[in-house]
Amino acid sequence: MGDVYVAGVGMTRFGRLDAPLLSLLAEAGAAALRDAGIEEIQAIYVAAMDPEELADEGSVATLFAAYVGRPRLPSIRIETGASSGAAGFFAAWTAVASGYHDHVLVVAGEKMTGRPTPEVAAVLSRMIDPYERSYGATMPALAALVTRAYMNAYDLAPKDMAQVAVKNHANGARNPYAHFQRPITLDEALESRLVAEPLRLYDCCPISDGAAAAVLTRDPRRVRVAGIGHGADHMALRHRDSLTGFRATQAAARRAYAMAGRGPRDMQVAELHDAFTPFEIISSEDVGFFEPGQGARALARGRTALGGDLPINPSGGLKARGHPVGASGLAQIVEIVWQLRGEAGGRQVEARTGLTQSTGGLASNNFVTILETSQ
Amino acid sequence: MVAPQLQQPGAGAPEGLGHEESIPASQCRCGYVAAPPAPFCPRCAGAMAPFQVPPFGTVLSYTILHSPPSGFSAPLSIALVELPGGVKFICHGHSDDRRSLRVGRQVRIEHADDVYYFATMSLAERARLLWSRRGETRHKLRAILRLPVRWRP
Repeated sequence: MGDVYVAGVGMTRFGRLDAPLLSLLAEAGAAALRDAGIEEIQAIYVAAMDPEELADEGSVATLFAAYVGRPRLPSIRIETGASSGAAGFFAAWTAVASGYHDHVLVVAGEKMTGRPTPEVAAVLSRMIDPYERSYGATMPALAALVTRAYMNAYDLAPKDMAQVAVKNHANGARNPYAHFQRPITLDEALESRLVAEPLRLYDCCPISDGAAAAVLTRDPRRVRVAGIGHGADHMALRHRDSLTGFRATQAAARRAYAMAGRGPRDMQVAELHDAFTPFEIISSEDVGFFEPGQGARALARGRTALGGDLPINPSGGLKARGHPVGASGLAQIVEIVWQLRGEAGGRQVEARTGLTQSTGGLASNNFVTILETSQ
Repeated sequence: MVAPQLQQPGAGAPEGLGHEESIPASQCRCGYVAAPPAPFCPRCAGAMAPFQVPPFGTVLSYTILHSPPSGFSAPLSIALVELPGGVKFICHGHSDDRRSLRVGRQVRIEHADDVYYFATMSLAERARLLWSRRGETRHKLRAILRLPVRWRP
C-alpha cells in the first residue's frame, strides 16, 4: 500500500437548506477540487445513506457524474448507514493506496429536511435489527438502552451528558459551517423534553442537510492518511458482548493505530460520532483516549474542550454541526484537515495528528481514520 | 458463554415464580443461544437447532420512549433482559411504574400473540401495551380479548 494524501477538502454549510442533494454534492465537490488544485481525477466515490427515500434520487453515483459534467468518469456509490461518508473515504483510499488510481474525488451528502420527521425516523430505523424494531426500537431507543447500561456500570449523570451538548454547541458557535451556531446553557439541555429516557432532546443530534468532499492523491501533500480502520458488530443489541462500549469502534481504532504506528496518546484533536451525547464519551473510551468509565471525568475537567489537551469535536460535532447522515463521516475528516492545516478559524486548535471516528447504525459498521501533517 | 441446560420450562426459577411458557430460541453447536430463533448462529455462522429458554431473567437495561415510531403510542417501554445462560432478550416493560423498571430487577416474561412483556404487568397495562403497538386494529383487539385467559392473579 502506498502513501495517500488529502489534496483538498470542502463542504457546504450544514442545516436546513433549500438546495437539492445533487447541488449540495456538487458544491462540496467543486470546493474540494478547487482546494486541491487538481482537475484530472480518475474516479468519483459518492457516499449517501438513503437518497432514494430521503431525496427521491436513485443511481446517485452515475447521476452525480452526469450532473457535474463528467459523465465519462467512473463513479461508485458507497453506503454503510450513518458512517457512509467515512466509508466513501475508505473506499477511495483503497483505490489510491493500491495504485489503481492516482487522484480521486469522494463526495458525501444527505438531504433530509425535505421529508417529515416521522418519515426520516423510519428511514433511519432501518439501521436497526428488524426484530428489535418490531418492539418500537428507534435509534434513540437503542442509544438509551446503551446509555442506561453505561450509567449503571460507571459514573455518568444527566449533567455529564448535557455538558457534551454545551461544549459542542459552544464549538459550533465558532463554526460558520455548523447547523447550530448558538451556545446553549446546561439548564436548557437538562430541561429539554425526554425523548427516550434517559435521553433528552438536547442529547440527540438534529436532522440536517449538507455535503462534504475530499480529493485523495498519491502525490505528496501536507496532510497524509496515516491510518484507517473499519470495524463491525452485530446489528442486534441483544447479540452484543458489551453494552457499555462499541466493539466496532474498538476494532477500527486498533487497525488504524497499528497502520499509523501510533497510539491514542499521539492524537491531538478528534472528531467523534456524537449522534447522542453519551456516545461522545463512550467513543472517547473506545478509541483509547480514556479508560472505560473515565470519559465523563475528562470532559468535566475540560480536557476535551477547545482549550483542553485533547479537544474533541472542535467543529461542534454531529450535535451542533448537524448530521446529514451520509455526509457526517467525511465532514469529520474535512474538519481535521482544516485543523491540521491551521485553517479552522475561531475554533483552531494546535495539532499535527488527528483522529476521526464514524458510526454506522447503532455502532455496527464503524470507521476510524488518522490524519497527520506530513512534514 | 455457558449454554443453558434448562430443558424443563421453569426449572431453576427463583422462589415464588411460577412455571411460565418457555421462550422459543435456537442453539448452535458452539453453545450460543439466540432468542427469538435465528437462521444462522450470530456468533460463528453455524447451523442452529430449535431450543427453549425459561421465561425469566434480570433487567440489563430499559428505556421509556416518549417519541415512539409511527404506529406506536407513548409512553412505550423497551427492556433488555438477560435470560438464564446469558441469553439477551428484548421485550416490553412497565411504562408507568418506575419501581418495577430497574436495572438488576428479576422479572418473569409472558407473551400474548408473540409480544413479550413483564409478567408483573396488570391486565390494564397489558391491554394498553397491546393497543399502543403498531398493527391492524382487529389483530390488536383480538390479542387484547384473549388476554384474560392468560392472566393469573
